[in-house]
Order: sequence, then C-alpha cells, then structure tokens
Amino acid sequence: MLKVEDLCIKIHDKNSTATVVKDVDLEMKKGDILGIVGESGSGKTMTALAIAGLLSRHDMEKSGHIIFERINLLECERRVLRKIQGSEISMIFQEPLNSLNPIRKVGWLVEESLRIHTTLDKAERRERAIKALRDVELDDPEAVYNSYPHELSGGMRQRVMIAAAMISMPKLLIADEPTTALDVTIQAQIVELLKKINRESGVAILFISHDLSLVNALCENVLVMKNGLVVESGNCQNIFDNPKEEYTKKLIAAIPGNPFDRIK
Amino acid sequence: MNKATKMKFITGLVITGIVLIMTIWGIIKTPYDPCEMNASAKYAGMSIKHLFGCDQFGRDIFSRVLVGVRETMFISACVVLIGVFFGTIFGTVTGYYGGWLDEILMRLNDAVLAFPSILLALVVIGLFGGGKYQLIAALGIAFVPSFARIVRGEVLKIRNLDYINAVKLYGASDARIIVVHILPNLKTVLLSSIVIGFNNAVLAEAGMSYLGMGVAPPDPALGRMLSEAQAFIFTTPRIALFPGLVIVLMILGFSLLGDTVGK
Repeated sequence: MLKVEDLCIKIHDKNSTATVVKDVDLEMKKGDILGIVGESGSGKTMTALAIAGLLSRHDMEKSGHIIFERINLLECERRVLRKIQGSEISMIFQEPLNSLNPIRKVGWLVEESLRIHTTLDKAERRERAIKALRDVELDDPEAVYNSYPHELSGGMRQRVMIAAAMISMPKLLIADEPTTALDVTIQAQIVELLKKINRESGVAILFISHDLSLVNALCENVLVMKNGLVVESGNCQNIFDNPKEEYTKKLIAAIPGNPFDRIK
Repeated sequence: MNKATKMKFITGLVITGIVLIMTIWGIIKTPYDPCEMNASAKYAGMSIKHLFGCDQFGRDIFSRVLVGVRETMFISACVVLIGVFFGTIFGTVTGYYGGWLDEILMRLNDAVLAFPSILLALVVIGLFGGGKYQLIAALGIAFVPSFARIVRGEVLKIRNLDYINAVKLYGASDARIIVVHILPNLKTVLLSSIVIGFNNAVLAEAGMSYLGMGVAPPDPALGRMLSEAQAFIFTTPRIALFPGLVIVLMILGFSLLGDTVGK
C-alpha cells in the first residue's frame, strides 16, 4: 500500500544545506502498524510529514519515491495530492491543544473532512460525527459535539483528533507522537484505542514516538532512526530482545519502566 | 475585569455614546442650516436658541459641530474600512504564501509606512486635488500598511499551528483554509487595531481639514472650524472651544474603549 524508497530531504537555508532525512526505505501493507522511534531531530517527523504531503514544496528538496496506492506523492499534481489527503491519509499531531481550531465547536471540526469530500447534508454529517466520537470511546459524544476545544481535557482532545482523522475512513493514519503531551495512564489508553481502531477498521498506522515501550506495546515492526538515517529495522519483538546497534541498546536502556506495568 | 478597567470601559462607553448621538443628530436634522449666516447673531453667546453660540458670520456653532462630527465619523469609518479591507487581503496573502510575493509587498509596505500618514495623504491630495472623497482615498491608502502588518504577523503565527496542518490533511484548499479557518481567528486582533486605527483616522482627518484639505468650504469640518477660529481665540475663545472639545471627546472615548476591549 505504502512504499517509501530512498527518501532524502534537504533543507536549504540562506547559505547552508542540511540533510535531515537520508535514504529512508519503508514499506507498509494494509492494516500494518509500523513504529518509528528515535531521538528529537532524528528525522522521524520529517519523514511522516513528507508522507502526508505537508512539507512545503519550496525551500526544501526532496528526492526518492513515496508511492501510495501506486501514486508517487512526491511528483503527483496538487489536485491529486489533495484528494488523497483527507480521504486516504490522515494524521494526528503531538499537541492536542494546537491541533483543534479554538474558535470552532468540536462537532464542526470533526465534520470538516466530510464537508470537503462528501455531499452529505447537515443531519447526516452530524450522525457520522457523533458515531466517530462514540467510536473513540468518548463518554458523552453529544455533549462533546457541542463543546469548544478548550472545554476538553488533553486526552479528550486527542480522542477528538483521532475521531476527526478517522471520519473519512482513511487507509493510512499517521500518528506523530500522539501521546507525548499526555500523562502515562492516558498514553496507555490512547495506545489501546489506536489498537482497537486498527483491528476494527483495518487502517494502517504509522506510529511515531521516542518511547520504545509504547512502540513495543502497539507495533509489529519498528524503524529506529538517528540523524536522518535508519539504523535498524525489523520485527519489534526481535529488536527489543536482541538489539544489534549500540544506539538501539541505548534507547532500550532509556525506558523508565513499562507504562503498562505501572498502571496494572 | 477589575474595577479600574471597568470604570474606563464605562467612561469610554458613555463618551462614545455622546459622540454617536451627535452623529445621528447630525444625520437627521440640525437646529439651523450650518452654512446659513445671520448678521444679527454675530458672536452671539450661549443661549437656548444657540446652544454653543454663533461664530463671526452668525452661523450656529452647535449645528456646525453636529455636521462636522458626522463628516469626521463618515470619513474615519471609510478610511478604517479601506485600511482593514486591503490590509487583511495583503496581510493574509503575504503571511500565508510567503516567498517573493511576501518580500515585494512587505518592502512596499515598509516604504509606505516610512512616511508619516499625513504627509503621504498630502502628496496624494496634491496629485488628485482636495475634497471629501479624495481625502478618504488618500488616508485610506496611508492606513493600509499598519493593518497589513498586524494581519500578516497573526497569519504567520496561525499558519504554523497544527490545526491548519490538520485541515490541510483533510484536503482543504488554500482558499478554504484562509477564509474558513484563518480569517475568523483574526477577529480579536483586528477589533483592537480597528479602534486604534479609528482614533488615528479621526486625528488625521481633523489635521487635514485644519490644513484646509478635505471637506470643501463652506461645509463645516471640525479641523477647519478650529483654524478659522484661531483669529478670535483671545476675543471669543468659545468658537474654537467647542469643535476642539468634540475632537478630544471622540478620541478619548474610543481610546478608553480600545484600552479595555478584550480585557
């Protein structure tokens, strides 16, 4: 479904060029959950943004291929890209505080994608939005539908984001450190939720995190990145049990104890 | 809102209310024709017949002030409207797209901003002649850059927030992102800068008409009433007092509101 080959991203500053992503390859099939781990600045978010098509087309240079359903996202027309965005690829972000427009009600925000891509009328959109909010296990979807983002807690906002991303039934959901701004118990709940969504709707999830334990709890395969390079990749359990690279060993050593153990 | 802010707000509201009543009064009907001269009422003092007295030609100052306020309000409102409209367009386009267009428009903006707005308006009037509508155009152009700057800064800030990225990923077009998702967020910033801009416009209009540009004589304008009254400032200061007082009230009212709005 998704195949990334030799992806390089260079950012041009006034007089210097920085290569932030070097020769990244990855492949995902329908329903896969792939984790990308690495420290800050290792290029994991840039890779995700490139796949989502959110990197601006000027002041950076991208080479390689990002092939999604046989379409090369790096070279296709804007119109095609826009169509794929929203209906096929969705994304949730790190800061749930910034990812919802503060002056609109939650219901309106969740429906936005339907408003752009479908011709459903108001009542149908509302129905779909309430259902999406219920699917992310919000207690009172009707009340959430009619509230503003600032009235919700961080965990609830992240659930709303997931609902908004999933309402168009995408094939790929990119989660860019969706749990970093949340506390440990909520983190575990969100990971469980993503797992459930993956099981029920068959959406592939690209899960980006710097927390190896979360990746281990969620993903089958994992990519370890450092300085824009993939240093190790493969089955999550294998890498966890038997890390080859020094860097991966260090990352594993840095886990402060499994959050799932902590809440049990 | 603490007590002091509340007092400021209420005072501002009352003063602006008075100014607005005067404006509406000026629109509906003035007690006398503001241009009618009455030889028997030259320098008439304050009385029930002539609330603010009469000037050197026997014209009713109260009527003239009412019409002057009306004209000033109209001109300032138009100037601010032009400024906000084009400022928002330039600001959003440059802030959202960036690149060379941003560079060119913003340097142009800086160039316009480098001149004091009154000087710039004088140049435009020098080129196109005086008059009410020329004045509106001249001041309007001079007011665009400050609004463009404010809007650009705000758009730059909003553009990089995740919710714009999220909306982009829902497949929204640039136009939709700007109109539906960014512009409504500018409301608060624009509101306070509109109030400040309106103040500046009132001052600029008064200054221009003091210099003899703007509304053509014999129609009254607050600024020109002041300059005409200069000659009598020691004999009958009343002629200069009332138009001056009204200008002060207009600006005071709006700046009190502007200070407290959004707090």
